[in-house]
Amino acid sequence: MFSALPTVPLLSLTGITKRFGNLVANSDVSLDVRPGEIHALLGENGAGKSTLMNIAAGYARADEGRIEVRGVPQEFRLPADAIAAGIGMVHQHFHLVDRLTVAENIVLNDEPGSAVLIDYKAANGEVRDLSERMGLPVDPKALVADISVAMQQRVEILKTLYRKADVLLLDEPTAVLAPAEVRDLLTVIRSLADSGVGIVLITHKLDEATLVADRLSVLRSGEIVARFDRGDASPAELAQEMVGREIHTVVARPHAVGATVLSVTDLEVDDSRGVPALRGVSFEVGESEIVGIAGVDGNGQAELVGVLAGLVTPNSGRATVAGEPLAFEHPRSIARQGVAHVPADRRKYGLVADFTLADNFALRGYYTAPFSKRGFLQRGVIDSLCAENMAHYGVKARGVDALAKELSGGNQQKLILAREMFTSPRLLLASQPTRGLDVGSIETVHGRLLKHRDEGCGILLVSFELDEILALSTRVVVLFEGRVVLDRPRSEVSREILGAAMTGAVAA
Amino acid sequence: MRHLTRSTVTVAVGVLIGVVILVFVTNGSGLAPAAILVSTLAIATPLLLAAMGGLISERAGVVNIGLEGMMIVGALAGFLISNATGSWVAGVAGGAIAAGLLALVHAFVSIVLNADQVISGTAVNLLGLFGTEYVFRTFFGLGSELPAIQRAPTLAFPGLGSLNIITIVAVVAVPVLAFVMFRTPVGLRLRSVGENPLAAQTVAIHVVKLRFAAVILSGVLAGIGGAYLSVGSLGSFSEGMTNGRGFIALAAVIVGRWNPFGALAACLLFAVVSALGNGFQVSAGISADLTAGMPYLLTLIAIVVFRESASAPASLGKPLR
Ligand SMILES: Nc1ncnc2c1ncn2[C@@H]1O[C@H](COP(=O)(O)OP(=O)(O)OP(=O)(O)O)[C@@H](O)[C@H]1O
Ligand SMILES: [Mg+2]
Repeated sequence: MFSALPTVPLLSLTGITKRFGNLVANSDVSLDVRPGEIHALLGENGAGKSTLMNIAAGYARADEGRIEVRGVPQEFRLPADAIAAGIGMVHQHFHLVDRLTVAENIVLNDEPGSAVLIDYKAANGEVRDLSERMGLPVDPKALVADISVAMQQRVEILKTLYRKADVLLLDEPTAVLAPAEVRDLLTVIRSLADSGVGIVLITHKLDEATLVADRLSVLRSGEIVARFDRGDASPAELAQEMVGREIHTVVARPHAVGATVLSVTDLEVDDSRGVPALRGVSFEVGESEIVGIAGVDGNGQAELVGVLAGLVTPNSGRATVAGEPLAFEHPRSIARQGVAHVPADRRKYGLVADFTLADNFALRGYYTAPFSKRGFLQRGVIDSLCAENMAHYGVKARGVDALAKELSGGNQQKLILAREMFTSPRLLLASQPTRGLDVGSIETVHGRLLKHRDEGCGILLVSFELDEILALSTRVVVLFEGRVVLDRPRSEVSREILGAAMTGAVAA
Repeated sequence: MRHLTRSTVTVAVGVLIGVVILVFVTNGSGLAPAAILVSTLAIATPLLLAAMGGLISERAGVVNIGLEGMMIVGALAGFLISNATGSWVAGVAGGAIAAGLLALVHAFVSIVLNADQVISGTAVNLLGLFGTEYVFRTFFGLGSELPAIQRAPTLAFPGLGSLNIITIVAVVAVPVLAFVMFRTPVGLRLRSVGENPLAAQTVAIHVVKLRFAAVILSGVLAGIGGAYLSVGSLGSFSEGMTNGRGFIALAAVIVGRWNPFGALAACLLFAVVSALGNGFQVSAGISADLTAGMPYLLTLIAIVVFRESASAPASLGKPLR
């Protein structure tokens, strides 16, 4: 047998076990990455993917198991130790300093210049060079608070590359990206691998994984249950391994649309920098109707949902819910009008990280029955309602008294959905409702959304996933540069038509 | 760089108000502007030093309401050591070290034990206040005569008057701190730790170490501020002599929006009103209670007017985990 010389893995994890109380997040897990390889790590929400990567990057310590880098045993007590060993991690939720510039975030702790003076010119220049070389375009001088999520993602990757990491651990890097951005990112990841970097890629998008990965490992309930080489497994087989059952994509059966629930007329809004984001938007959502808002990120979707949820003030225009003017700027009045909101940024607007699951569940309606009675919270009621609704949405946690920050990303999302749907809203504003969910959970959530639709709820669905828009919507609206460029029944649109409209080639 | 532009406005407004008051009031009252200026700087000195200390700690994300306690410890240690050694330099250094040690307690409790920083700071204040009382009385019984100590020297500025050497240090500290904070690597790291410690961790910054250093330095500066009172200006010590200056310094940090120049403007404003009050008391015979209360009232108003919580470090008061 003449095989290629065995390459020592860049990173190898052996027999890793990690417990949180009596919950076993990783159980005897082994995983390695070789130079030039993309190793996809798949698994349901809460399977233990992020935990494993946090251990590999020094953010958490394993209870048992070994970590080796190029065959040398390692003891990571701090992230700094892992960084020194060449391991770079991009977290599921970004860790950037909003009030610093892109370049400052990247060069931080490794600043060009002398010990007493940062050479900002060199910093900006080096970041620009690196970004061009890697094909990860960023604006070095922009404040992180002002840039898009996709650019923040690129800043995170550049941070690790600036430190010359040769192992990249990417935790759901594509979850927050639009399809075109995903393609660009995967190309970059591939070329990084080709240059000798080893990459672990966590993703819930199985087609993406089969397309780009050299090896695939599947975690289920903290254990590795399957491992494949490129081409040995189809997305459907992977899904089966992940959840232990077959997955069916939900197909929306048509349902008669009722009276108008939401009517938006000539809405004009500026974004946070004062640039017009919506320029005269009008559309309607009816009872038992799902209106899908499609479009490339940054074309006014965030502002539209922000206005309707009471978080952003419009310059002009009207919106009515069931004929009654929407109480702009008053989220509680809006909630009383029967509007629920699943925000795109779940950590910022969706949950209080240090509250228990039960308290988070009560956040929307804590001041009303059944959550409170005569001004007193009904603890028992809250706990049992929370537990019951968590079960409906398959939220995996150790109990209702767990803290929200202990939940895996996907489970946080499901908890928000459970809370918002509990009020049986008239109108649901759902922004990226399945972002970060595994295939099984997406199926569950889609089923739930359709059930609420059938019961009369009008749903405004903002999604960058065309598949999701096409699968669920009754009508599809395309936003481009703050204008509605297309508004048609689902039956009259196709992927091609939407694609054209989204790039501004007006088809309306 | 946005911090700078925003702060420039604050500074401009603060200083302008100060100058207008100064000119307007002195014209009518016959007080000499130079005398008012010297007196203003003298009053501002301990405030400035403590404020710069508070600013460092808060920029690193640790609330330091213990400045008052650290100041009084600095004042007593300064007095005792200067008395024992006969050297004002040793006194000031001793004050700085003693207050730095007290700050170490605050750092340990709030950074390692992750306790509530406001409670820890309050404990530090009480410890400082009653601890100094206890130590002072063990050394000098009630009512006994205090020895004379060597005071920090003053430098004469022609046409203006003479300024204590510590005053000059305090004034110079402001641009130096601004430079360190906004131009140097360590300043950038410090700010990042106060804004988002997790982000700082992702680039291998040792958050705990840096916060420790910031809190201790904050105590050292507050201690020098305290030592200025005993060793610098009075040459004596009395119980509770800091008289709320640590809290005023903290208010100056907030009013100045966590920017050294902003805090400078706030300290000067407080000091100029105090100085004028003292002047009026003498020249116009206005009630001492009224003039003494004015600066505090002004501080309260300034906090309301200039408050902008959006400029506070994003992770202020939050432990790492
Ligand atoms: N700090 C913590 N304390 C308690 N439990 C935790 C903590 N961190 C994670 N867990 C639990 O460990 C399990 C694995 O979580 P992990 O975040 O690794 O999942 P994941 O595979 O990354 O899921 P997702 O796809 O939703 O991001 C979950 O049940 C989670 O609730
Ligand atoms: Mg995860």
